[in-house]
Amino acid sequence: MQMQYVRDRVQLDSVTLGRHDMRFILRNTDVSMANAIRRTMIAEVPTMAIDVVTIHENTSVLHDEYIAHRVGLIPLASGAADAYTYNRDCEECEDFCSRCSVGYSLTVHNSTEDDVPVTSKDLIPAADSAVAAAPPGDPVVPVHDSGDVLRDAVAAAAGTPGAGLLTSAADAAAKGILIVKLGKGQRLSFTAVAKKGIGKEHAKWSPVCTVAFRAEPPAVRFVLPRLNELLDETAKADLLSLALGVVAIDDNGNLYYDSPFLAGRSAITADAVRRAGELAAAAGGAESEIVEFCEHPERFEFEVETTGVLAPKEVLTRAIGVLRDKVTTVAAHLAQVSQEGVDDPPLL
Amino acid sequence: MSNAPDHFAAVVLPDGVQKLTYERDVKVENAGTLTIEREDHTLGNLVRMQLLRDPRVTDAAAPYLPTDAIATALRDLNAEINLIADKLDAALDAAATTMDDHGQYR
Repeated sequence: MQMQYVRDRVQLDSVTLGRHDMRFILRNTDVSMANAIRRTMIAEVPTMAIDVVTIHENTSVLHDEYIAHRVGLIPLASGAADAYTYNRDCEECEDFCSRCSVGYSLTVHNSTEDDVPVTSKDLIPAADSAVAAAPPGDPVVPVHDSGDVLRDAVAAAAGTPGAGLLTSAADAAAKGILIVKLGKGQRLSFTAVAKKGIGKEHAKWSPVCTVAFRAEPPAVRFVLPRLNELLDETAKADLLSLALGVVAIDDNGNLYYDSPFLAGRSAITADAVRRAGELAAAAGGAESEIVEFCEHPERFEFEVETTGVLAPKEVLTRAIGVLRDKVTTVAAHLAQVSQEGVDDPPLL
Repeated sequence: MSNAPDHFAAVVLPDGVQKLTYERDVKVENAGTLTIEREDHTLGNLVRMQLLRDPRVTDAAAPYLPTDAIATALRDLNAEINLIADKLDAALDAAATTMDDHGQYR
């Protein structure tokens, strides 16, 4: 059998890379493939995250579980995640070992008069632990700066574009991620174990903050030239009130697509379609003339933002690998099942 | 401590459970039910849409076994994913522009 139903014109291009961001365009395929790639990036790319926290001493204002949860959410550099086995599958150990986990410890005592922040910076890889087992140059260590901090820094430095950004990034990295603030005399001490997992188990293993794609052309569009021809000034204003962010009116009184719609941040609502239909009908037109539908979008503009545990291109590359494994695994099982089916009695 | 299931229960196949089972329809020869365990609509919808692209699936009169249809769909999907992987490698080599951190928020 030849491959006659493969979408062999599928294309991936226009890659733009940032430190934590990536944009790309997937073409000539359908929503199911775009969505499978999106979902795989979010929930099925393996990363490392702290999963077991043993609290030795905690006199902070937050209770143990709260701290354990916060510690679990700290992103850990996961370039080496593929080198680890899943803890539940590990045959080398009963509990934890260097093949399936990474240990950390944290001990902070506030002996000052002021509040002391306890951050990801205080998380020390345990001496007997597995950091040595991680491939050299790619240890599983906390990623101290998060995208949000950077984003705020960009807003703060808006007056002087670019300036202050790098220093803010460095600042954020220097401060680390806050776990809890200790008051005078308070102590926090725990050990923690990081394991490999995927986002489907718990969101802390998800390597991304967001993956979004926009299908082009959009599912519903107005036929603006026809609308402009049909509608008078009041009718246009009426439509505008239901389609803010989708259309706007220019100096000549003509409707045009507004930037949020063109950027894919707004869509035409059912109400707006109905109203446009009514207005067109009142002006002697028909709804079918002024609305266009697109059932099969063929261009998908992706935006990915990672948590910093993996480079964005790494997330995409691994997601495609995971998806491929999924398909081949199921195909192998199916071949087995079909083989067994041969021996079944024939249908009557 | 509690009766909560392990959080990997959604991912790991329990003992004794087949990854994939197929049951032929009792009455119609060209029909059957395929059940894939521990997968979600990431794969489910992907396979469904690929099946619908096969005219032998949409043609009710075609003598075509569901297992064959799905095997074809999976093979074609694998080919497409490999193509995407190749395109990605090429696109990453060509990625000349480098975005500043959070360029889109400027």
